[in-house]
Amino acid sequence: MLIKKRLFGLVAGVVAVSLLGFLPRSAAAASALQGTVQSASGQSLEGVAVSARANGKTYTTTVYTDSLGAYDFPPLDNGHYRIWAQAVGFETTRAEADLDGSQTARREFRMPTLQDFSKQLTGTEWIASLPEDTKENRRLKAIFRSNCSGCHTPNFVLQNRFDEAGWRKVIDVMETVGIYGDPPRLDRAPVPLVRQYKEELAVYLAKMRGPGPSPIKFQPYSRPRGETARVVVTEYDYTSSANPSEPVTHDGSDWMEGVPSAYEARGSHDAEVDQNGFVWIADSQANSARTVARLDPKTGEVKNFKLQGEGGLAMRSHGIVIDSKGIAWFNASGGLGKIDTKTEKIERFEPPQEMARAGGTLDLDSNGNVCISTNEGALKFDPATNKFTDFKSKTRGSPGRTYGVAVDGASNCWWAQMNFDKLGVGNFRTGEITEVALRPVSGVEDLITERDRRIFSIIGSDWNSATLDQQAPRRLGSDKKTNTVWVAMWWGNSLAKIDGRTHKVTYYPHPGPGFPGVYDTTIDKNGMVWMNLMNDDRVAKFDPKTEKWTEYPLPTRGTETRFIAVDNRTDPVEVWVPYWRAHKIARIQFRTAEQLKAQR
Amino acid sequence: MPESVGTDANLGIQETVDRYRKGIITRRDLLRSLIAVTGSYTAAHLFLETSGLAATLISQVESAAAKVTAETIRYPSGDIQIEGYLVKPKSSGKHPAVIVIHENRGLNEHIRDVARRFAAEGFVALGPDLLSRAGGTAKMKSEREATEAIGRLPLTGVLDDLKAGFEYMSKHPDVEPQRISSVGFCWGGWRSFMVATTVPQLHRAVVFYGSSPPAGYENIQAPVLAHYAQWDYQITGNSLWTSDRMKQAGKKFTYYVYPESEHAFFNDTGPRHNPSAAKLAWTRTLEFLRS
Repeated sequence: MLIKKRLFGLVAGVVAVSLLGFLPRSAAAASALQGTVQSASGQSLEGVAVSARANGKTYTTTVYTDSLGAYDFPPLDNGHYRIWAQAVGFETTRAEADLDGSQTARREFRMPTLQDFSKQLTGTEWIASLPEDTKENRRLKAIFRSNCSGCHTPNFVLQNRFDEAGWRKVIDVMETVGIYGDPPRLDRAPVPLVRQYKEELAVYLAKMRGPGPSPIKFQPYSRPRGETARVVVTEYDYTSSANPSEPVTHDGSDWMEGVPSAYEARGSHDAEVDQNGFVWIADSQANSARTVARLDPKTGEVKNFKLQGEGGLAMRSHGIVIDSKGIAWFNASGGLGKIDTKTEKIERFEPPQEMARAGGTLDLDSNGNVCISTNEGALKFDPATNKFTDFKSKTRGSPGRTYGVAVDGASNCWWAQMNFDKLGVGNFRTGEITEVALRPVSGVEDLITERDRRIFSIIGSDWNSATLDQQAPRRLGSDKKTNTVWVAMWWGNSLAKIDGRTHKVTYYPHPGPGFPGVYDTTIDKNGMVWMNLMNDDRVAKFDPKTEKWTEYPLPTRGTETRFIAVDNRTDPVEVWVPYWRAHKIARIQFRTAEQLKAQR
Repeated sequence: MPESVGTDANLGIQETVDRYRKGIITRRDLLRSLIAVTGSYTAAHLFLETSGLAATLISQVESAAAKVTAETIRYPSGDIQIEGYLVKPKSSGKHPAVIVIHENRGLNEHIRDVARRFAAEGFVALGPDLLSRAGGTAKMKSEREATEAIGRLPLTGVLDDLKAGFEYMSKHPDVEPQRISSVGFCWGGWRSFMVATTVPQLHRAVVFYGSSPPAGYENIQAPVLAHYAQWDYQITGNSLWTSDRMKQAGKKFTYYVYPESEHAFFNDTGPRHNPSAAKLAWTRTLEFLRS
């Protein structure tokens, strides 16, 4: 039944192909769209994103050109389509087509060169482009990276130009504004490291992105090719939480417009797929309409579910996880939310007053117990008894410093103490708590001056503003089969593998230039480690056997992804990433060369 | 009186309060009993504030032992009236004075208690209710409502109310006008520091885990003492910047960071109370105010 439904789904043609082999287009009751992309001089362009969106629909499908510059969409629903091609260094080029299923539609693109392509660059390309010719440039680049690319991506900052006074005023706001854009107040303590480096940063930014000539030499990354250019990405609009009847208009779809502001809306934080293929989204934006939402990938419809909060607002969420019985668990304003994905019954459990409040990340052990992050460690929730158990970090400190959690194959809940470079480990069976310490980032010692050292020793690190040697374990995933925990090291820009039994840590630095931002990990049924790269508008796959990284593109600028999920029901798996800034939910599907050839 | 507190509970509360007033139980026992009767810490505080009990709540034993008197007063700030809790030593003559600036929960039992402690140490202590502009702390249905109302208060208006409090104290017959200081906690910490930038006659300013003024350091005349918690990242992290600004302006600034303590470590009615840090900070505060 599931297969039949997908077969006739509007946008799931690729899944049908991968499950059942190739079918005639007529059988899919859908239309074909293909063509080629060339430069203005007639050179074939590989790895160009070609996107198509039908009038009246709320999702966009994107494919990439191959080595001959050819693109080929999976079967598309009939309709009138807007089609556009994008690549860094070229103007966005547009076409339209009516697809009625009677014949294959072809659209050929010739892309004019774009001289100033700076707005098309990802955050990591910007970081890679900042010069490292002198020690001082290296130092200030590192300070900028560790203090101005946590709340937002670096391209959101660097796409603008200001003089020194202008940058100073920007930082005046940044040092007191919250990540959700709440207005700055004179009586709020500024982010201390940003304040300490404000003067140096204002001078540096005016040098790099001021009104005069800049030493920046842009180094755009190579475009997708081979396997990574065969993906199909479907991006679903996620309606504005401020006004859930409205989609977001400035959403990063046109790269020439640069990174979108998040003021229009944000909130699509975590998302998981249920057993029927629906996607459940935790909404982190203050709003009156929803605590969580459900996306139907067949139609793009978003349905809201609300736990009533105070002041007419819905309770806010952040993380979500779905158990084997189809129950979605999520945090809701300090408590634990629960919604039955089949009956849609929604409930909430409040931790006892003497325990810490439920935080924003969750995972499950193999018995269905829920692990929830807290300011001070993690909570265990037993659904059989509705009982909470509190696990407190051995290393205490400022509240709010736990980020991700994951449960290993032996029912140990791991939580990331992001600012202490430690992981807490709570044994759900015995209650024992241990701790794993990570080594500091190396290779930056020569950049740290005596003054920096004094500042760092007094102030320390926070989630989004840190000392230069901070690893910052952010979010993590677990491979229960191998009892391995995979940790995204945010500032360390690497992946850490931790043996669940011996606690041995192995570090895998991201192999590329710049600062892609390894944010979250999830492990698929084949043992592949998937990561969203917040600053890179890409997701990465790490093969633990070959230790090879493969990166797949996302066709939006300023995605600012903060979570990644895999749908293990399909073969190959499908990957889902919510775009927190650009406010979309994306699915990545994978095609082999043979499948693509047969389709043609 | 809150509707959630029924008749039987009222009897229980009355008995408890009577036992406290007679000195049979301590203040902490009183609060513990009220929490037990009302069901929660929040409800107990709400009861104290809305019942009017809080403003006069001091046991005969404590009053006699501390030799203080307490009353609710009003003073003008422009066109509005600010309510305040005034506690005086029973000893005659003029005394140094302290303006006790509350946290972001309004003038509650904890701040009144701090004011009484200052009076017991020989100070005339005034705890202004800076929610007076919004109807007063007693009108708030919950701590959360008080916090939200405080968030909406005008920054300059509150500073005007504190300056007016300073003027009220400087004219008070029991106060030495040259020795009026300010002590602020959390939200009130920033305001205590700000009073130092705007009232040149201020004797001393004490800041308990509050943020620092963005500017105006050159105007400060009073020495400033700050108490910070080790585990209070954003506020304590700015101590270095503040210290540098005070140094550059040539002002006297002393600050301490209390190890293994959290924001609000001085508040003995809250979950983050750290008794040893609170005791040390109190001793240092008294020494500083008397210096």
